[in-house]
Amino acid sequence: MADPASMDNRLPPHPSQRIDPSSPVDFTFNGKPVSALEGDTIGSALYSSGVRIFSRSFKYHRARGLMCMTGDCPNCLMNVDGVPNVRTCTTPVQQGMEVQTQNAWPSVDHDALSVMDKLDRLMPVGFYYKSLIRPRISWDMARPFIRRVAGLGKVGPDKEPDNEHQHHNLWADVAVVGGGPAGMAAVLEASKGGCRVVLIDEGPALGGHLLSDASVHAEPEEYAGLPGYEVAARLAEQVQGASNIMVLFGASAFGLYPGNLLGVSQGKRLYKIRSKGIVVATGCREVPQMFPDNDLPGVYMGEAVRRLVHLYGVAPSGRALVVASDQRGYQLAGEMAQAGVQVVGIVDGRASTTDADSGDGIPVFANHAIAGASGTKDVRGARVLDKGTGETRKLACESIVITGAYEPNTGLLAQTSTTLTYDPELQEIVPASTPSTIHVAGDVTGIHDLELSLIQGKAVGCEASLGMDKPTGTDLESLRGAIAEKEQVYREGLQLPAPLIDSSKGTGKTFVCLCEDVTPKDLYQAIDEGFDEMQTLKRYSTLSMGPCQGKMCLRPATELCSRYTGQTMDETGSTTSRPPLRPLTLGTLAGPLHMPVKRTALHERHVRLGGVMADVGPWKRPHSYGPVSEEISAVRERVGIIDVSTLGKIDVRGPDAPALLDRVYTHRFSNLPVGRIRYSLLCSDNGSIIDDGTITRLADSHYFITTTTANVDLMEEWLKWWNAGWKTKVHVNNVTSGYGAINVAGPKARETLSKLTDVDLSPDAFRYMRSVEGEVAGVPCLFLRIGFVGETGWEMHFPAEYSEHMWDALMDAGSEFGIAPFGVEAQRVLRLAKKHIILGQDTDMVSNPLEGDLPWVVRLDKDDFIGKHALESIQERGLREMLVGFVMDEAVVPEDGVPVMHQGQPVGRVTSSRADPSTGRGFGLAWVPVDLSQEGTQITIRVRDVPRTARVVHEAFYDPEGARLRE
Amino acid sequence: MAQQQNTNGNWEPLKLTPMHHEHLRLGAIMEDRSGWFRPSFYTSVEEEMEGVKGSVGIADISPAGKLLVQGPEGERIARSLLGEAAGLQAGRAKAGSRESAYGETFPVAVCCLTPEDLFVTCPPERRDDLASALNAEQQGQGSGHEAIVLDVTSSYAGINVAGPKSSDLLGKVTDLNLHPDATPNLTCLQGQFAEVHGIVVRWDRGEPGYNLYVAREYGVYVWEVLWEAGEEYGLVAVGVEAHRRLIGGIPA
Repeated sequence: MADPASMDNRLPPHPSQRIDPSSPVDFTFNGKPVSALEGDTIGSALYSSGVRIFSRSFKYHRARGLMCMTGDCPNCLMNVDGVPNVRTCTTPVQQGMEVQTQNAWPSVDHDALSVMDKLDRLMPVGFYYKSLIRPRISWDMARPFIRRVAGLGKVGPDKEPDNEHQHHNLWADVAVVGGGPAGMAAVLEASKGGCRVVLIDEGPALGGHLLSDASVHAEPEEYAGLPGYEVAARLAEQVQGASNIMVLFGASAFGLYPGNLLGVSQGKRLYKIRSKGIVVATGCREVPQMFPDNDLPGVYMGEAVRRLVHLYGVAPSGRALVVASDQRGYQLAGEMAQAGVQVVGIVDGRASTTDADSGDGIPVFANHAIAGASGTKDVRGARVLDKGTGETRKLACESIVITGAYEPNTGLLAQTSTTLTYDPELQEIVPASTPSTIHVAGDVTGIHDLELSLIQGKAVGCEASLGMDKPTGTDLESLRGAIAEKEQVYREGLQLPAPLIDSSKGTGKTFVCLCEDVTPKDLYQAIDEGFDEMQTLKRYSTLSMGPCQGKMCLRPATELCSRYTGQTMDETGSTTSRPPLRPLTLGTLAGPLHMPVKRTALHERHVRLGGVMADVGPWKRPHSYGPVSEEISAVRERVGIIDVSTLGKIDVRGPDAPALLDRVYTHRFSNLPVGRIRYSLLCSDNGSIIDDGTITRLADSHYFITTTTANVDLMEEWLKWWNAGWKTKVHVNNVTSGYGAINVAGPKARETLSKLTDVDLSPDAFRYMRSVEGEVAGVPCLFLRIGFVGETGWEMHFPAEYSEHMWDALMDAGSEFGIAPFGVEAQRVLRLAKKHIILGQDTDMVSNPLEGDLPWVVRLDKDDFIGKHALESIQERGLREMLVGFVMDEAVVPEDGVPVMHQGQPVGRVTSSRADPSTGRGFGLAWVPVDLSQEGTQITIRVRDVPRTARVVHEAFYDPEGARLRE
Repeated sequence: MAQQQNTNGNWEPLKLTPMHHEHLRLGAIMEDRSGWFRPSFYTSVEEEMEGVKGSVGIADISPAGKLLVQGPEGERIARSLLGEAAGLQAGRAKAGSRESAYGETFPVAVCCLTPEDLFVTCPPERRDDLASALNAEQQGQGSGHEAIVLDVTSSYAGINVAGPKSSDLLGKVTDLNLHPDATPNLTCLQGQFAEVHGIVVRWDRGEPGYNLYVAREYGVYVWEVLWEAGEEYGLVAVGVEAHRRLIGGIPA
């Protein structure tokens, strides 16, 4: 083959062409530069530069070339800019694209694996069900090879940027799929009354098959004397002039889901379009014919040649043979001749036809059929069979163009409850009845006539907009009458092609399924083995399971199967059509990456202070601002502040609030005096801990609850659930978002706060576990005197919008005392020294408060509460394990989660462990069997695989009497 | 220390919205509006108005007073508030006006989330007026705890999305049906916005628009998502001044 870049065989400019000769676009093909023109697709550019072999087939690695130009067949799949399996025939070229062939080694022109073509006997249909089974080792031997050669295309290793893909929701009154004549007529009609209409079209311009149609139409009168592409342009102008029509170009509708939801992909965008009415005007495609070597490069579907010539100005190379059975085929042959192609003949399966006269002097072989192609890597000739005499003659040609048989694009309809039946008069499988909100028009109905398409489109456009209070003023009844009348005339005028003949006898393979290299022989063998209807035949033979999803093969396969079994087309059935109709990338479906992030109102303060932000669930919290030990000593020796806005906060009020809390929490709250705080747990029915927190009584029937950060939503649900279930009169509201919260702790906390508030903070006036409402720095606050970190301190809750002001005021007031912010890690060490548990860290789904060493929060003398019965049973059966404190004998720190060992067996586990800030020895909390839980018991903890000894400690490691807390 | 004196001359700290630092990053000129530190404008009032009219803009409306009226008597209270037979159905909102103690009228919007949850919004400076009026109404009836009034102003970040492309922009972050037939003016819906729960009220004032409310802690995240999603529409940030002129009145 000649160097691709040096060849260019464009036809003279023509109004139908979509290329712009003045705008060159350069890209590379297998590393070599190729020049294309603006308006080209990758496929048309490669073809015009002389490339003929586009890919290698999946199984036999046969050479395959451009065939359909409509994105239906698998022949042009290539890797484009790292994305595999791109349909190059319909993908527009872009400057700098890197295009590479795939599934071939060392190249598509010379593929070593083409030897597979000769080894077909080793791979009969369903070979993976019946070979490589015995001896068992045969599979192991074959597997590495099969793994390597199987699959199509390789996904690039690079991660795509997160938010390249976009999702859009669109809501329309009417959505129309297909921007051909019927689709455009439908949108124009539907939009007349003011409906919002969306038109979805796969191409870069509206017109559908009319774009590549250069024949002059006599009807309808409105467009008499105009070529197809001009009709398309006139319709498109009207569509694009209407303000209530939105057109999605280059968009493919891949799924039609219940509720009239259309899935549409457009590049990296996914549209979810919901509409009240849907018009499917998806047109039709041509059906390949079955003859030996029907897959050779050089065998084209008629539309491919039409598009090459009329859209891209490229003529197929060499001499051409056209297979035709209607006027369109003859028309195409004439157009090819005009474009300078030598047409060696028209093969017409019909015995006699009036179309033969329009042959422009091209020899017509009536009552003939194509019986085979010859050539190894491309077409060198054709065998033509005289159906009358049975004689075969050879014709030298380089292109074989298949026209004449059509198959409606019913893929979307088949995803709905539409009934599809074989119409023997039309010889096509057409939609017989559709759901009430889905309408069909145009070639998809099996009627291939411009005038009818336009009237059908108008009628369904009107129907689809019915009942929307936006009348179009069209007389639907008379339209329907006109359609029926004209359809009758159309049907009577049909000159049907002779039924498809299977001329797969002779040398060379005939391909039904191009994606999976399935031949009629394979099908017959599968049918003989019992798979005689499409669903099982598909699964056994892998027919239609490739990239084209049956677009090229289903129709011929159904016909072959029906003929072979003697069943009707409808009895033979079809496969189930599921989305996506066209392949999608997973990125398109996944859409943009949305990772909700919760930020406290102090986020910017932490960042500015150099806080290392850590993910704590969806929240961002400062892990630390500097050395953790310094933060710890600031809290213990001076004063520290920490942002605890993430704490769950629930407002509970109503006459039955005390009763509700008594029954939900393990502790008692009906006797809690106003202004007092109590720590408590909640259990589930089996006695395991769900959550913990503090409960403050603000008024007789008003409580303020804090929950763990992670569980606030669960707690809100839990309280609301029981409130509803017990019919108690309580309002439960999650007020987490509304309050900022800061904990000020340390020996100088009182002095710091006193500078900002009139509230009397003296030890006698404001005692431990009390709450007061007052102002700090002009901000209304709820003071809670609690001590998670073990020092004198206040947790202050205030409207979140004052958070920065509050923080700044505290930092300022505390500067003379050496105030320092501390992060989550310092807090974790400080609380561990006090043996304050963290739920989920020190407990799990089955931990109960009795074994968790928290019996003092459980009031078994209460009438009832959730989990009471289970906790009583646990007490009765005796405790089995205990959560205890431990201190290592040496200066080693176990990691969280390491096992506690006893006699060589793991018997417990460490839940939290840190180094003691003063001694450096590890200390923490661990679950141990109850007989190892006595104070001073020596336990063994495996630290980095080395057993180390530790002692059980019952009291808090720091300030066990709580003197500092209460100070 | 960041203590600011507000326009009344009182030593009252200014309130910051959740998206405060986003405004600073966008170079907004900030001003004190009834105790809140708000973006007066980012580029220019005219440009921002043009941006909304031509495509879509977002404005931080977090300061708006937001009250939750909860309980079976919510509807009665709504009726008293709107001064008429409200007849609110779940999913519908009504706009009305109310007179303050000094005889000034201010707009109020009542959104019926469920028949027992009313979400009431008003201008920022009227939040206390409205809360006390509602509380008085609730207590005046003597039944006590059948309804409660909760000031949730601090709990929500509010973002106004307005302009002809506002539905397209929101359609990129939510699956809610925003077709004008399904979501006509004064509809309120709850749903997911970029995977975060939110309340949205369609309220066309001047331009088609929505008021979106999400939990305060998600304010920056949702603002960022909208900012990114709106790039293709030429999204503009809209300051208080342009927002006020666009809706031709006082926001609520």
